[in-house]
Amino acid sequence: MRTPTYALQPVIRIRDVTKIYEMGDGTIQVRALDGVTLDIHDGEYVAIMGASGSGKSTLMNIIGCLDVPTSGTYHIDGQAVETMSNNRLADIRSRKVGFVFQTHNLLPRLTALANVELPMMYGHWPNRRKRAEHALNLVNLGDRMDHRPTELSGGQQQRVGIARALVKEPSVLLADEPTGNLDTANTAEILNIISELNHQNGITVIVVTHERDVAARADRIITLSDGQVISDETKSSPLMTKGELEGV
Amino acid sequence: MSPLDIIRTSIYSLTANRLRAALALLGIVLGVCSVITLMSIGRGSTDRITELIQGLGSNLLTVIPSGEPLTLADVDALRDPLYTPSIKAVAPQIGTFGTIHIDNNTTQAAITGVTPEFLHVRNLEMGTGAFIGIPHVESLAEVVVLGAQVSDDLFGNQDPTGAEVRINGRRFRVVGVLASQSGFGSMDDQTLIPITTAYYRLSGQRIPGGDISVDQISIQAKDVESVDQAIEEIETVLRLSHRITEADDFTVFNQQEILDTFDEANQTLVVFLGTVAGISLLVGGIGIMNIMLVSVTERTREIGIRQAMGAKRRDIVAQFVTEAVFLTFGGGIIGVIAGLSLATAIDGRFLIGTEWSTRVTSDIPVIALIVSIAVGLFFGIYPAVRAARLNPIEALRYE
Repeated sequence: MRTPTYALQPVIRIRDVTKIYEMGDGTIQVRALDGVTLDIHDGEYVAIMGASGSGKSTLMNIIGCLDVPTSGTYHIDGQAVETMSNNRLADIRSRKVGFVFQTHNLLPRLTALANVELPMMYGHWPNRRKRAEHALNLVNLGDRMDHRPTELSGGQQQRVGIARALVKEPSVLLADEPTGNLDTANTAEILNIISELNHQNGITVIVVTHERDVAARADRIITLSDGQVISDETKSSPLMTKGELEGV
Repeated sequence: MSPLDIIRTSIYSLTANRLRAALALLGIVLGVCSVITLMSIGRGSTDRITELIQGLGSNLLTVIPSGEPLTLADVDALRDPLYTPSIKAVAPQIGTFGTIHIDNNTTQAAITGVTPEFLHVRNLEMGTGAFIGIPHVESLAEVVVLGAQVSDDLFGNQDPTGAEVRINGRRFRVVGVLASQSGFGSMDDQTLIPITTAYYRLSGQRIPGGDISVDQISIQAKDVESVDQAIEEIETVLRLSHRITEADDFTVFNQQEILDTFDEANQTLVVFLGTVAGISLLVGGIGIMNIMLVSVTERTREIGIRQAMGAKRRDIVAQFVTEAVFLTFGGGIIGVIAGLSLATAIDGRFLIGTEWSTRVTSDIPVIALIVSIAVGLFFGIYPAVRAARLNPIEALRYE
């Protein structure tokens, strides 16, 4: 659904980002991110790995514009986020970021269709219904549009979550442990859908996970430890990603 | 978020917990209902007082003794057009209580001794028969004119004219019945007899000099403009006849003044009741705030999801304020309907010892609805701001 832009500018451009949380009355400082620098390009499928406490959630919050770095710079689609007001951050979230959560986080009394329409409501989108139907068709839930979350299986709920995330055609689909609550069969189903969206629709995907087999589906695995990037591996593939193209 | 989306979202949220919404609503319903009812009662009683002023005539003056008794000699002096050109009619009265009975039907009634002028001075009308005449007064005739209620108590639907009743054991002939009147100062429960008869046959009191003392003199000035002039004339005549050099031994009341006093007391009561009603509306508003605060805490996660989906602070504020205003506006509408029904239902009814009169005007419900919306805005804003201030990361993690 996204037409790839072959600009050399990365979708996500993070430079020396540090995030420090002050605990208690400011006496204890926790350095959740410590000088992270990384670029993610259009169309990439990236997994961010790390043990709990490694800073991967903090990094995800910053990439998702839910939080701003203490120092360093972060650009999404060329826009500098670190100096933005709450309102501008909300605006960026509504246009550029599609969240998929570990728990589906659907509103329980809205139908699948209404849940998918929700993010478009905050962005004043036209043709919401048509777009929502299209997104649900993409995750193979065209026949479950009028069902409420409780009437759907865990995997179906998560698929509604994915439809909700991609309906806005975001710059990046940001999934935080998207299969954390699912059984093996549903996990496979969700991961297949994410891969498909990346390969066939060219959607940039960032998956935050601590599970190796989930990360293995990505083309590039970034590993964090103690707030720093300790490895950044790109799988060899017959086709070069744009990151690699740039490097050439 | 478009206004339609905000409204849709608020309805979605309010229908999630209907019982709670209904209970929060109830506080506002009661507040608005009491405001409407009390304001209608206030308007109604003000109307009635105004009506009364017009009914009795604002040119009515009342003289009562405050020391030496007033006598029929004073009355005669006051009647002299030479001294009192501004006075149209003078009606002395003696008030007493008595038992009236026919056969085995007994009723207690206020018995007033009057002269023929009484009929005009007090703007009374006859239902049947005739009023007390000058010959009745001169001959101490034992005749009686019954108030409509007294007649009804003793005779039911029958015309009592010509019948005999016993008042404190004496035989009286009924010569007429007053037409029924409603409202304050009604003569329906009164029994009127000639003033001389009341004095010599019933009251039992005597004053030196053989004159008749009266309890009160009603005086009708020529017109409203001559009221002040009439008061001066009354004072001059009575001071002369009582040979007063220092303090007056009588008091003159202007009807208008009496009614102004009533009106003032009424207004004070209305303001007081209105304040009580206003407080109940305030309590309703606090109830709304309470519910909204609980709701914000409960829906922390929902707020986090909305924020992650791109909801701005103002979207969240708008959603919660709209919910609060929906509650108070809904409560306001139900309250207006309940209040108007109640006000209409009690209008003209005789309840808890009073006859109620209410007037419903279109401005009352409009004001009540505007106030209820304002209450929603005022008490909704704090919970809404709290919701909007939530940190999306923490809100999403909230269990």
